[in-house]
Amino acid sequence: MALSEDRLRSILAWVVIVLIGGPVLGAVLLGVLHGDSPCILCWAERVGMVLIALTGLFVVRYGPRPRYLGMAVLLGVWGVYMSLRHSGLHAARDVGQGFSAPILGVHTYVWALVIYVIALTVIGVLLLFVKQIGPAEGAREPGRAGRFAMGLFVVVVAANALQAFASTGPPPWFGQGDPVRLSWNPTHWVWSFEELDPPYVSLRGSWTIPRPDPSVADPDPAHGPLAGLPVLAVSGWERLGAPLAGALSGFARDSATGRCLVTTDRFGVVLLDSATSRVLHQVVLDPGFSVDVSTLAGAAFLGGDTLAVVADNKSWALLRPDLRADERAEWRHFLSWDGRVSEVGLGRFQTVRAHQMYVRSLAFDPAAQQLVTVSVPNPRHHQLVVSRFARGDMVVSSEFEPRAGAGLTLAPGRSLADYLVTGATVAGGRLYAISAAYSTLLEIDLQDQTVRGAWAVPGLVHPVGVAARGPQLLIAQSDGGIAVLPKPAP
Amino acid sequence: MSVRGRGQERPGPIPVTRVIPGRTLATAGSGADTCAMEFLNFLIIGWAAWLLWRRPERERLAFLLLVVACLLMALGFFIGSHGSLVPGVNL
Repeated sequence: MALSEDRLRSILAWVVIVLIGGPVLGAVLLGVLHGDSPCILCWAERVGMVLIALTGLFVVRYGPRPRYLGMAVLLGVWGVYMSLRHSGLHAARDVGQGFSAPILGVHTYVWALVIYVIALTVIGVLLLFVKQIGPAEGAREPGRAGRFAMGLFVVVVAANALQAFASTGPPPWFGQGDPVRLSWNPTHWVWSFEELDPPYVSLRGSWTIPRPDPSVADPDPAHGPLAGLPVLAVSGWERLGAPLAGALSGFARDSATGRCLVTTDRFGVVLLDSATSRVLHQVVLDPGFSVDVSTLAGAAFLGGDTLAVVADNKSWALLRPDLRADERAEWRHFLSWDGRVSEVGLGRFQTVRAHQMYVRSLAFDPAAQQLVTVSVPNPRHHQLVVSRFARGDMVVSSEFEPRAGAGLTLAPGRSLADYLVTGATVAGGRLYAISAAYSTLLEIDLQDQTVRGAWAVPGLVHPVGVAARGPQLLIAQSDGGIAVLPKPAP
Repeated sequence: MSVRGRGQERPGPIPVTRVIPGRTLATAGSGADTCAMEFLNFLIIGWAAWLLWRRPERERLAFLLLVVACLLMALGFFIGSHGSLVPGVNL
């Protein structure tokens, strides 16, 4: 079956009628009847549909010239981009939320995507069946459908112009991100330039988040945000005795057995004996399969032999020593495996306040049965967020930004978010967090959400983890050194 | 923080240059010379359609208007999304 040029023009006239008389006119009616006002992105999507219809009218009038077809395809592709970009703003909100009222359960920006995909499909199907495109001819008198399409088009465009005048204003004003509802009363009209803010152009906006690099942090406690901190001197140094492939990136100690759990920057997870000289178990996680595991950044014992590790993108894995581990089942989880470890869980922590921040630490609060992470500030989001996740379902239970407690004074213009926490542990109901920036140990009360104490720990180089050992704290460095210091009295 | 439209991209108060006819007008701001306007674009589109309908011999002008309208539409969307050109999600 092949379409003659006349047949193509007739079909296109009806396509224009459907496009203009359906979604475009419907959008105007939504405004008139329900006060719906398009945002600046909706306006562009609506104009894109009008332009596709106008391109169709060109074909109706002059025949299928290549530049018309090219323009229609470009407009369709651009429309798909616009609607995807627009839907992306709202797609991840809580269920039922969105911008403006939904139509048949679907919001208008998603309908725009559907319409653009249909438009591109129709263009493709018509091109599939059209006969050879002949040489360009002059204008032809459109048929009855063509004339109706042109008249309808002009009327609908005029209606849109009227709505645009009231909603966005005459030149040089343009559309708004959060328009008020449509009104024909001029005192309700809002014409603005708000969309020029921010003044810069960005590819990803607030999602442009660099990976944290604690190795470049300033270790001098005197430069930190808290002034006049007492010094907590290192009473001794120990060293991991077992050889590790890669640099240490996380450290935890089991208070019940004395065993230590370490992670490396090469996705290694190693369980050591209490003397840290013998490897009990070791695996190398597969970072690329299923859940995307980035650089491992923290470790914790969850009790009952369950080991937890977290990556700086908040992906986590739960492991367990298992003498009866099934090689066929575990092969998919590990790049390297000692044959005696099972993966019991793999997932991603989802936060609210730390949504656009990485972490470099993991702790476990046995009393509350919660895992704890502390966010790492970045140039876009300068916050110190403590997030707690229920052990049962690994879903966030609470979050807070700790305040400086009594006796702690922030220097002018500084905040606790200047710290870069790279290790954390819970002991005695308090969260002890070591910051690679300014080599400072923070004691955070998980109940009243304040920093109860802070101590300068001079001499640390790139700390990656902290653990409690009786009356002592152990701070592990990336080079395998372990600083031993007395645990401050609560 | 606004919870509608593009608000989530822009934490903090949104500086709005608001102009309401019949009231004391705020300064138009640096965007006064910007020419990405929906109303103007519909006038251009309507002009092009009028040419197609009533002055078909002016095809070159009509197509030029179509191109201009496309560019204005793209510019309008760019203005509305310039703080983050790709959706605010993980890539």
